[in-house]
Amino acid sequence: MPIKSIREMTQREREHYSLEGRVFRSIALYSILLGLICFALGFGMYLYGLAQDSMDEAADLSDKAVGAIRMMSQPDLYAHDVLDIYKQNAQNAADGESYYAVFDRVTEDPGYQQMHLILKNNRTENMSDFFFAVPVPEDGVVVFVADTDPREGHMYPAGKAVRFPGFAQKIFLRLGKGTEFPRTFFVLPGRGLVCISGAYVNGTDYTDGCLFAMMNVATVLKGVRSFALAFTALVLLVILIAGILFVRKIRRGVVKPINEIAEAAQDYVRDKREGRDVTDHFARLNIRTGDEIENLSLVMAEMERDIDMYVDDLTDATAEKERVGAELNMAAKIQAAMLPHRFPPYPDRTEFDIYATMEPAREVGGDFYDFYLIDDDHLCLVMADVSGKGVPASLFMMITKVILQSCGMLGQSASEILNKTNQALCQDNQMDMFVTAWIGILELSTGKLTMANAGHEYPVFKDPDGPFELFKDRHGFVLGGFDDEVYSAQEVQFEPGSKIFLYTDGVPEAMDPLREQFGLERMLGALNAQPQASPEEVLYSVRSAVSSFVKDAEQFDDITMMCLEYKGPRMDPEE
Amino acid sequence: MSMKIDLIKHGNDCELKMDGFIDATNAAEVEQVLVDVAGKFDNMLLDMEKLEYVSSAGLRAFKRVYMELRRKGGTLSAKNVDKAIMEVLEVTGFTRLFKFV
Repeated sequence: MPIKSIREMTQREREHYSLEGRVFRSIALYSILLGLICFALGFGMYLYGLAQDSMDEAADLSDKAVGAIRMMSQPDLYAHDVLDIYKQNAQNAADGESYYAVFDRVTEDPGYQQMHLILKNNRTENMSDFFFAVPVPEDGVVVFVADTDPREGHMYPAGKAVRFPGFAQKIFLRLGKGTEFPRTFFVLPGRGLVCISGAYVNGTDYTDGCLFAMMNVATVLKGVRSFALAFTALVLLVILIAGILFVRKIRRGVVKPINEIAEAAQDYVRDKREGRDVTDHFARLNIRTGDEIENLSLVMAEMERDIDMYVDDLTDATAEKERVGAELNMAAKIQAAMLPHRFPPYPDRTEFDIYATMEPAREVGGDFYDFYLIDDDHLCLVMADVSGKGVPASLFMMITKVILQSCGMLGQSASEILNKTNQALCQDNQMDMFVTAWIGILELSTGKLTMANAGHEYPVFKDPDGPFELFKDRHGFVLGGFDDEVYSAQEVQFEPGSKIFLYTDGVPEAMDPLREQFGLERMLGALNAQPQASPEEVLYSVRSAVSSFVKDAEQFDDITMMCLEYKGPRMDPEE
Repeated sequence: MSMKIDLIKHGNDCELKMDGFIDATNAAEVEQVLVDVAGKFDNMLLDMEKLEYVSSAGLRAFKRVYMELRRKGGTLSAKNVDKAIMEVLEVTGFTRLFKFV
């Protein structure tokens, strides 16, 4: 198969790889083969007929000659005489002259000579040989009585015993059986096709002698040969003309339309690649061959329309997807910017060290953390998780964050903040979204932490000298559930060096590929691996423990963490 | 399917055997099934013996079922609650939606 496309080929290559060339070559080849076979068959049948005619002629001529010699003499007597002398002198046959001299008494007989003359007169042009002989099957020879070969030195004398070649055995085997004289034909080297037949001199008794006529067919064929050559040339000419006509038809009806379709396909691809808005590459070919090729062009035209339609749809869908992606990207940035994200957030505050991260499972998340100074002495901490994830959760998260912060900034207690936020969220909460939230207010001068929990995960505390431990605080129902829910607060006392670790369920419920959960045990283990680490290091070590646990499993929930270390009341430089 | 639910009818009450887990991927579907069933019966009992895991999205389904039943004066009960799931229900305060039997 050619590797290049039609357009890249030179004229020569096009012709070489074209269907026309192939068709022409195969037509010529097969026609010549077919012609040769027909010619051979025809010639063979002609030869066979010719051979039959020759054998008939040989038999007829022999019959006629037998009639003639029997009128003038008694040929069977000469045959018997020659046979008798042969049998007595066979052992001397190699002596030549002296052996043949014995037969003179037969050949000098005037009757014999007259018979010999009649035979010579009955000889015809196309006879190879015409002779009177007695077959001796037991010796495998025929003994000549009289030969008529006119060529100098080729006429066998009487008494000559000639060993018949293999092909003539047929004649021997069939002699004397039936009235019909046996016949056969064969190819003799130097003489071509030879037909042989003959006639019994007396009845069907071959021992009385037989006339044999060998006919040359080759001479007849000489005339036929030139005719055959002319006929062959004519046939080749007809094949050539028919081939050219057929190739023209193929070019018009097959090659040209196929090339048009191929070029249209290339144009189509090129126009698509270069962004040209050209349509109906195939439809405008207008191929009207009324066969499979027309059908192919129609199918291609239909395919082009379908592809164009599909590409348009795909372009629209891709544009839409890009737009949504860009918006989500923007939303993610807005969301990240809404959470405190500069650390340390209050470089001049020495009472605490804080660090927090939020990693949404999708572009935007429903988890959030928050912290802010309500006044100079009170730091508010928030960790919350909106049910679900993605855009719906992020919308609900934004409103929750704003309400919690508004209530917080009014200086209300932790429990009161949750009460107010819950009531606000319960209004028109048609989608039954809810938020779990933990809120704590740390009094920086004393280390007193007041906290309230609306269905959120237990916080983890660490005393200055102890390990990280779950603190099972009192739980209210999630925010957004029931508007009459009343939340209660609890207090704990922090010492310098105390830490608190807050998280959403994305941490303990992170799953490995076998759906096993990370769990609180592993989380506490990661926390306690380096209990003296800074808040930033604490978050880092928990996150890497989660990562190595889930391996390549997809993150399926937002992962949010916050850690605070209380360093003790502010040292007033003036005191 | 990550969740298989068998329904057993007891007159106007029903018992649902839950088998699988509820997370964000199937929560909407499970919620629809549970709320539809809740609409047809007075009281509903959830058999959580084979419930492996409930995420926060799954809790929303319980809330909606509870609201549906409460509207008609019915109750939502649960039995065979696994320790881990009970912990989730306790943490989130959802224990109050259920009558544990």
